[in-house]
Amino acid sequence: MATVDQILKSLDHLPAIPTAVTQLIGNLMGGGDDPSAEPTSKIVMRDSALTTAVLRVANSAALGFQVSAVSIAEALSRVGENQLLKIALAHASQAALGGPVEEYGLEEGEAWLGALAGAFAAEGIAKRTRTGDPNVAFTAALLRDIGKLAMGLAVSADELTEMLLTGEGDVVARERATLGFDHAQIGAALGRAWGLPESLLNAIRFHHAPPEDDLADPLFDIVHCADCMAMMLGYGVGFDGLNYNLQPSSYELLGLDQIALEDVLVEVRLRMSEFLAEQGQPQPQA
Amino acid sequence: MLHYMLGQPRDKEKARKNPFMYAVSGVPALFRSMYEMGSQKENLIVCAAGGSEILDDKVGFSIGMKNRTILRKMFWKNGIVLHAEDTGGSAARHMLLDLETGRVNLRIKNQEVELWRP
Repeated sequence: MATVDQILKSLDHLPAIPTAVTQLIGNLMGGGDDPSAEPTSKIVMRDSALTTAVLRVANSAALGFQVSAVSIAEALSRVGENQLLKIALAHASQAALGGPVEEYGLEEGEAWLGALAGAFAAEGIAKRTRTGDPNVAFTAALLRDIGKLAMGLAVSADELTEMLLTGEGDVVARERATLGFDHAQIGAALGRAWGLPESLLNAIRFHHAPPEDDLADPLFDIVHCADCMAMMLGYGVGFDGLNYNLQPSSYELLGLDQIALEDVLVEVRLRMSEFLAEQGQPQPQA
Repeated sequence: MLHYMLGQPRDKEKARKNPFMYAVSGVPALFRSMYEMGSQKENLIVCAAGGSEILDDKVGFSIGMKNRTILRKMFWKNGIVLHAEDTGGSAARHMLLDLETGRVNLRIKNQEVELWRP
């Protein structure tokens, strides 16, 4: 039987990722340690849409500056390198994740909103529980569902949609039973094809079922919990609905109780509203 | 139409700033604004949808169930009749209100179903 990587290699084309996104991911995860990496400001300046997105945030009412920032250098001094990277990555990822994913019942922009909500949730969990690097958690959760982009190419789209519309029970288990693999596996393979770092590939691979053996890593639990939170908030939910299992050990390991969960949910909802308002994007019915 | 996220806030300041995120602040605010616009309690048609949950919530967060319970409690205490509802389960629902006809439809998966019509 062909492996997921082999299935992916056999395809005529794969979903694409803009170079700016992989560069921003490298900078965000590297924490400025790679001297050969291109400075974030240069990556942003090369792309007019990214520049506009960053300047919008730097000039937002929330920051309270009376004079408008007109350059990326000024924006950088206002929001800081770390924040600038995340704004740029959140915006740039729309090019890869913003389209419709019809097989899963996700309309234009819905997959990206789900990715973004998960990213904010993961960052919030990592900060609150101090169990992982918030930047890595943000990036891993942002990319966790990239497998859904490729599933309709790797299998019969009709078969996949039929399974999602008619079946009952955990979607990941049903994907495996019906198609032989699931969207988390194909996502990790796609991430490998995109050249993403190994830690992100595993976070994608395990985002529905973090392992409890030697492979265990709190990052996977953070991304799993963030995924559940994005679903609870209604972001990026399609034909599959909330038909996923929640792994209790992840919440226990991270020390996320009801209070922490509700605090992070509130934070995510507010950050989503704020980010979309700053970017001039419509507020979804989530 | 109100889409609340949680039953009640832990922090009252958060509810003051974002009343529509919580049932205890959002539902009264919705009804108040409708009464201010001339609605009368006995004429109101009230529908509810949502309150879904992750399929297998062994942790017991049960946010959907809590959201459903608090709504029923508030309606019972205030004598509000719920005319139609489709709540619980693990499906995602989009509520559609047709302002011309007064019909309330739900989009679940790829189907639109009627929740209430005059």
